[in-house]
Amino acid sequence: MTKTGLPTHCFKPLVDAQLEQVWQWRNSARVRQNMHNVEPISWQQHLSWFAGLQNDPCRKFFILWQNERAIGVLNFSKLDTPRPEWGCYLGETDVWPGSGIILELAALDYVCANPLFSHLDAQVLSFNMAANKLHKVFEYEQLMAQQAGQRNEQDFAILHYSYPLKQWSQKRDKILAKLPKNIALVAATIQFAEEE
Amino acid sequence: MKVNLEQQIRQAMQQVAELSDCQLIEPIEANTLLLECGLDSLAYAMLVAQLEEELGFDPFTELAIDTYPSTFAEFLANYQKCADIQ
Repeated sequence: MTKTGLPTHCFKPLVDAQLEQVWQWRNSARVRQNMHNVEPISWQQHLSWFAGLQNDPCRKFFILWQNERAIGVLNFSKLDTPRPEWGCYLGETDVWPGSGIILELAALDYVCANPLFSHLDAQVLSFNMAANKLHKVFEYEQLMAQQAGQRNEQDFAILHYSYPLKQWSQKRDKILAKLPKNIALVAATIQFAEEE
Repeated sequence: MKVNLEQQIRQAMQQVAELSDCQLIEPIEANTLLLECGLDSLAYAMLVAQLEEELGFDPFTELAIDTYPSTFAEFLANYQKCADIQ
């Protein structure tokens, strides 16, 4: 059979219509457990956050649309510096196998397209094995481990990563070759829509 | 003896978990969420790639799927559907 069923992926800025869905994703136990702040967020807090986001040119918050269905989040901050920072999560659980890798890949591709940026930085909690492993597969440099306290009665740290973007241009094909080949096929079709 | 599809998928999950240093939860039941079965995103993609090598098909790139599987039972159903039309 031919691969006629490959999914499409488009990143679009968060708009009012997805606000409630993102609020529900962000408050799910699965997403909260890997956040700096595990407390549930009220609707009013969420609205205030969104209002601040709209007036902040240093931050961008994209929704990942897979086959025209919203499934997750990719966000950037510190876009007024040479070293933006990013984060992501999958809000839905019924997603194409490899969707987390698409988020990882898209983050690097997005910032690499802007020559003003030198590095892409990230923070991951030490117990978030999936995210830490993906960062290592993509060959992020781990800068430091900052002790952050306890969660579920276990000590944890915030791991600080950085990616020199010059290296991403050189390594991209090599990294893609390490991944299941469907990822490279899908990667070629990822799109960003800056305006809704 | 011919291994049935469910056994083959379970064996592949175990192999991928070991290869990718993941810990599968026990037991994996019909309603176990794939995102919570112990395989991370990379391992989940590796599982589909391994099954494509073993079975000769990949439902998630060959079928027009409206909704991707969330649970193990839905994952298995996609493979059964694809196997039926091979």
